[in-house]
Amino acid sequence: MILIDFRKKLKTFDMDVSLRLGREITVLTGPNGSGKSTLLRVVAGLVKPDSGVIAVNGVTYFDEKTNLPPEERKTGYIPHGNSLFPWLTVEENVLFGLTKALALQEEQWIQELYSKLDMAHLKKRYPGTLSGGEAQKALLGRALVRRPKILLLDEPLSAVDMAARPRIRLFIKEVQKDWGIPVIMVTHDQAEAHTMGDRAFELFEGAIAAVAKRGRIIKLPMVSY
Amino acid sequence: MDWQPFYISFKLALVATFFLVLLALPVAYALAFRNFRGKPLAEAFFALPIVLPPTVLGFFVLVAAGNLSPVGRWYHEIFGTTLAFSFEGLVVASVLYSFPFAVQPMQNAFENVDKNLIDAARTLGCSEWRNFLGVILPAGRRGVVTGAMLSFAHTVGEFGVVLMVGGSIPGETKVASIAIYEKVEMVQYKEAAIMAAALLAFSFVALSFVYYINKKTSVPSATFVK
Repeated sequence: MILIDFRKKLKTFDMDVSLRLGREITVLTGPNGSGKSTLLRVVAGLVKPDSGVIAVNGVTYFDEKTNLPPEERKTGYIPHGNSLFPWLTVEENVLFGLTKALALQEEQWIQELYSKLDMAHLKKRYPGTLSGGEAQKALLGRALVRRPKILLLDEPLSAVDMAARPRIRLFIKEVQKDWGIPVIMVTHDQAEAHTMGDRAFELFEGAIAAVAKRGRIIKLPMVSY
Repeated sequence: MDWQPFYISFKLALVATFFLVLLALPVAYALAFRNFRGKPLAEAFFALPIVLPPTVLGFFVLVAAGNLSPVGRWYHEIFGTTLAFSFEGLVVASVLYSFPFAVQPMQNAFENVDKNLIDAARTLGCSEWRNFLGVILPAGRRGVVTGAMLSFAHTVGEFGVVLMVGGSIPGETKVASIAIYEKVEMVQYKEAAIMAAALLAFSFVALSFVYYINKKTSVPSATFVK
């Protein structure tokens, strides 16, 4: 169970969000500047709310007494754009969050990720030489290698070409289904929200404006901007 | 031709650059990433040597290094000698004088590091220290190299501040720029010309090296291949 219930004063509006999510793929939609990315950053610990509670699987990330720093939250956060470290190879990027000892210990898991993402051949490549789809695979591998408790994806397919999108979509669905990792995903693409999401929330000026369950997500947006 | 002043100049530049990089890194990091009250004052303070006449800075260092000041007395008690008119005093003066030349390129480079990279590293379990070593330093390495090279070149070219603090003691504080000045005063133009040409050539080579290194160490773009 994931509890995201917080308030945060922003420059243009006040965010007030209250969500209870399960081990599913939750899609966040809404216009630019509606607070979707801020919501992900709040869960990741990169933005501190003014008040509220953030808890994932019984672990409190934030409340009036607690504020776990991002490095202790075990979130797999992929910001919008390419956040691969350009001076490191794909392999070095993937292993960035692990100590050498942990990388040895997790060798089997790492190989499983490489194989599932079909990216073993990319290990020695540098980010500047990757296509959008290849970079996204590397980003997913890097986020998942630490066995996160939740995956936070900010427009993960926006830089991926159409041909590569189905495979990445399938992988994200498998991550949620096979490993039971809940996913919160921001997207502007209604079709993507419809095919991927178990539930979708539409944000408008920092608040939930509409909710849709699987099969009805295509009806979003319900608010006219 | 007496080349010892050149040796002193390079030794001074090397030692001063070492301390400058060591001190400038945390200051540049704090100025780039921390918001605190009085930050503009701190920035102005660290940039002061750019606008101050070297003799003014040299005067203050000389006064602070003398036995009448607490710093000077403390140094004398510990080391049994004075900072003024010593090589160590020159190092202190050079570090102060070149500080903005080390800090500003580093600060600019750190401020320009893609925030997404820093955020990603934090969610990957990196402490602030590891983030600095693993992300900010590699991403901002051009600024660090530029800061170090400018500090080195600037220290080699010092005149006013080293004259005030170190005087002109042969083999101890007499650096190349002072030696050239003395040659001109003694109407030994030929020696002055050779030394000046050597310093000019060095400065050109050093700056070319900065630009070359900058090009070599530029962080590759992570933009997607379309």
